[in-house]
Amino acid sequence: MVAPIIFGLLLWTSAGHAQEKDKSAVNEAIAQLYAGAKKEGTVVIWGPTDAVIYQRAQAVLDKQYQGIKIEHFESIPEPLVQRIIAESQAGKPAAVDIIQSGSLRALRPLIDRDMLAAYPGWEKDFGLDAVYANQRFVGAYNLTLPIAYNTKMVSAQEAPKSWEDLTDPKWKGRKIIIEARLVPFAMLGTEWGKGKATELIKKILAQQQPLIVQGGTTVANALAGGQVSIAVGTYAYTIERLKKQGAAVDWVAASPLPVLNSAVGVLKTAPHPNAARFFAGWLGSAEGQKIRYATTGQAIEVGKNSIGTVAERIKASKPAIILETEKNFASILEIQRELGKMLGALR
Amino acid sequence: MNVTPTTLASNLRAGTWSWTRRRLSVRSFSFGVTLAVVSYLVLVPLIMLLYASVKSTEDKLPFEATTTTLANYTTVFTSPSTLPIFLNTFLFTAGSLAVGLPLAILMAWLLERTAIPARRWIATLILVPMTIPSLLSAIAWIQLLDPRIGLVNVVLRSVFGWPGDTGPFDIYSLYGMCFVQGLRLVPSAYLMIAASFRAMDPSLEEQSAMAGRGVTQTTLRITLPIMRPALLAMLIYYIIVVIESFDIPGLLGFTARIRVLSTAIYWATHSEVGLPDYGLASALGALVLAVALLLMWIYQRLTAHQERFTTITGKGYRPRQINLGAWTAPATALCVFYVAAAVVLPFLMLVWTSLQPFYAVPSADSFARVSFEGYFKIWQESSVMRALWNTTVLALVTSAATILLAVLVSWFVVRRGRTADGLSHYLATVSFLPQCVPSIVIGLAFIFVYVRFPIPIYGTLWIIVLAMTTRYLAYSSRTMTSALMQVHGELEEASQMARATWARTLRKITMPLLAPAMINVFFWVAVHAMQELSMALMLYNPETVVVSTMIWSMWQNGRTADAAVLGVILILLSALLLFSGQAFSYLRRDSNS
Repeated sequence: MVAPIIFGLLLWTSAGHAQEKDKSAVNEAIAQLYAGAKKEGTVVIWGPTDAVIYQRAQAVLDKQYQGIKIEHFESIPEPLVQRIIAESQAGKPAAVDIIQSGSLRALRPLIDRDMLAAYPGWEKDFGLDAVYANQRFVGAYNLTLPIAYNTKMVSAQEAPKSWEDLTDPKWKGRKIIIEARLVPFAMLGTEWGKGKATELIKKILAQQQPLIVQGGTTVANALAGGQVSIAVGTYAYTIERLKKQGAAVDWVAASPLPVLNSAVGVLKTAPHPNAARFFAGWLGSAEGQKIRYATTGQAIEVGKNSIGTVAERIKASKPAIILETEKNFASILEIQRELGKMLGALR
Repeated sequence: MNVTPTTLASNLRAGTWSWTRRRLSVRSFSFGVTLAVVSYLVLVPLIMLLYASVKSTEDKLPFEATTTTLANYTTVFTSPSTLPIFLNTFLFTAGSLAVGLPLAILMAWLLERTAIPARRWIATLILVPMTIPSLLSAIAWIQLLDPRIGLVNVVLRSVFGWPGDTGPFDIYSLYGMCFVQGLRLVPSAYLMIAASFRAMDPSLEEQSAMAGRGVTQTTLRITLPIMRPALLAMLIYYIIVVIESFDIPGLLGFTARIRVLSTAIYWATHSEVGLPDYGLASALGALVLAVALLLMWIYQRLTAHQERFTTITGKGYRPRQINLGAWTAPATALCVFYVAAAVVLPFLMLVWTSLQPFYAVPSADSFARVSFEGYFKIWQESSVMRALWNTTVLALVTSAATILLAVLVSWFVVRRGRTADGLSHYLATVSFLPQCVPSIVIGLAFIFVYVRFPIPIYGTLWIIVLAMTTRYLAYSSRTMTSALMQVHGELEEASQMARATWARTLRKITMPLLAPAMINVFFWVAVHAMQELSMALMLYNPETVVVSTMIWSMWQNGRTADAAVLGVILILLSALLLFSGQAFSYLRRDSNS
C-alpha cells in the first residue's frame, strides 16, 4: 500500500523536476535569444500591419525587454516580396529582417527561392503552434472568411447558413457582394474538389448577378453601408469591428470555414536575426496577441493559442476548418487561377 | 521687326555666320542632351515591357532565368475573354471620349473666348476634380449613384416615387463608367485645350464675322479647323489615357464584370496568385503600345504642314471675348452644373465619409455617429507630417523637371521638325510612349535598373521623382507641343537676329509666350504626382512615404474615416496649389494686358 504511494510521489517529483528543467531550459533559450537581440538593438519588419500595433508593442517591449527598437515599414506584401527578390538578385539584399503578409501564399515566392530561415525555437521555446513550412513561417493572426450579412436587411434566421445557401433565388439581383480574388471558394475547392467549388461560383455569378469588388475592407464597407445584403470575402474580425462601431452587420461560420494565415518569416539575409526571431516569437505569444487584438481586433482565431470573439464564436459553432497552410497553398492558388478566368482573367 | 526666313538668309550671307554657328552648336548640344535623357528615361521601362512580354513569367520575375516564348501573345489572342475585353475597351474609350472631350472643348471655349460671368472662378473650380484621387472619386460616385443606396437614387425614388428599391441610375454599367470617366477627363483635357484657345489670333475670326458668319459658323469653320493639331493631339492622348486608366473600370466596371484592357493588365499584375504575371501584362501593354504608335503615325501624317496652324505671330494677338447674348444663361448653367456634379457632390461625400466610422447613407442614425475626431487624431501619427512633406517635395520637383524636359522636347519637335534626319519625329514619338507602359511596369523597371545603378538614388525620393517624370512626360510634351505649334517661329528668329543666344531666346521669348500652358502643365503634374500610387508603392520606403500610399494603407486596414480625412487634406493641399497657380496666371495676364 505504501510502496505505490511512495512510487507515485517519486514519479510526481521527478516529473516536476523534468518540467522545471524543461521550463528553465526554455527560459534559458529565450534569454539567450533576447541577449543576442539586445546586442543587435533593432528589428526591421515590412508588412501590411497597422503601424499603431508596433507603436504599442514598442511601449511594452521598452518596459519588459529593453534595448530592441522596432522599425516598421507598412506596405502590401506583393511589391515588398518583388523588391526583396530583385534586390537580392542584384547582390544588395534589402535591410529587412522580417516580412509579414496577410496570407501564406503571398510569401510563397520567398519559400520557392529558399530565402527564409527556419527557426525551431518558435515551437520549442515560445510554445507556438501556428508554425509552418518547416519552421520558416510563424502565424501572426488569422483571417477567417465567413458569410457576412446586413442585419437591417436580413434577419439571423434568413441569413445563409451554408455556402450552398448563397444560390437561393432570394439573393438574386446584386444582393450579394464578393471579393474579386474568390479566396473562400478556392479554399472550399481544396476540401470539396475543384469541380464542386467551380460549379458553386459559376451558379452564383450567373444566377445572382453579385457585385464583385477588390479588397476585404471594401466588401465590408459595402455591407455596412447597406449597398448589399450578403458579403463573401471579408473577414470575421472586420465585421466584429464594424459591429462595435455601430454597424448593422453580423457573420455566420458556415462549414467548412476557410481561415487564412497571416504569417511572418525571417529572411536568411536578415541583418538582425536574433532580434527578428525573438520579436516574431514574442508577437505570437499571448502577450503579443493581446496587444494586436486590443488594437485592431486581429488575433489567432483557431488552434490552441486562439483568443478573441471570433475564436469564441468558432469554438461555439464548431464548423470544419480549412486552414491555409504550406500543404494546401499550391492547390488554393491553382483553383484561384481557374476561378479567376470566370471574372475575365486571361490565364 | 518682322524677321522671315528670307531676311535670315540674307543676314547669314552678310557675315553673321560665326555667332549663328555658335548658337547652333549650343542648340545642337541641348538637342543631343534632350534626346539622350528622354531616350534613357523612356527606353528603360519600354525595353523592360517588350522583354517581359516574350518571357515566361508565371511565378518568376522577368529578369530571373526564364524561357523566351511567344506564349503570352498566344494567350492574349486565343483566350475566350479577349474579344469581350477588346470590345468593352473600344466602347468604354469611345463613350468616355464622347462625354469628356466635347465637354472640355465647350468649357474651354466658353471660359476662354466668351464673356460668360464668373468665368475666372469657374475656370479654377473646373480643375478641382483633378485634385480628388481617382480611387476616392470613384467611391464618391458609388455613394452617389449606387442603384440601392446612392444618394441621388434614394432622393429621386423618394421625391418622384420611383418604384422598387433600386435605380433609376446604375453606376455599375458601361454608361455609368463612361459618364464618370468622361467627367474625370474634363479638367486635364480642358487644361490641354484652354491654352490654345487663349493664344489664338483673333483676326481670322474677325474676318469671318465681317463676312457675315455667326458665332456657330465661325467656330465650326474657322476656330476648330485652326485648332486641328491641338485637338488631334488631345484626342490621341486621351484615347491612350482611357485605354490605360484603371480606377473607374476597376471599381465600377469590374464590379459588374465589364472587363476592359486595363483591368486585364491589373488582374495579371495584382492577381495575388504568386508573383505578378508580368509576361501577360506586358504582352497586353505591348498591344496598347502598338495602338499608340499607329495613332502617332496618323497624327504626324495629319499635321505634316503644321505652319498652317500657327496663330501667334509677331504681329500681336489678343483674342476677343464673344458675347453670347441669350445663350449666356444656359452656358453659365452648364458650367455651374459641371462644377456641382464633378466637384461639390464628390467632395461632400468624401467629407461625409471622413466623419463616419463606416459609410452609411445620411440618416438620423448616421448623423448621430458624426465625429470630427479623425481630423485631430490624424496628426498623432508620426508619419503623416513626413508624408505631407515628401508629397510636397515630390510634386514640386517632379513638376519642375517634367516641365523643363517638356519645353525642350516640344521646342525641338516643333522647330526642328522640318529637318530631314527624322530625329524630331523620333523625339515626338518616344516622349509619348510612357503613357502606354503600365505604371507598375515602370516601377518594376526602375527597381531593376537603379538597384544596380552607380548613382545612389535607389531608396530615395529622387527615384520616385524620376519615375514620375518619365510617366508624365507624355502629357506634358503633348500639351507643350500643341501650344508651341500655335506660336510662329518669326518671334524667335527676330530675337536671334538681335544676337540673343538660343537659350536666351528660349527663356525670354518662347517661354513667356508658352507661360499659360507651362503653368497649366506644372499644376497638372504636381496634382497627379501627389496622387500617384502604383509607382510609389513599388519604390517607396519608410523614409519616402507619401500621402497616396498612406491613404491606400489606411483604406486597406479598414480605417476608412482616416483615409477620407487624409484624402480631404490632400485635396485641400492640391486645391491650394491650384488656386495659387491660377491666381499667379491671372495676375500675369492682367499685368501683360
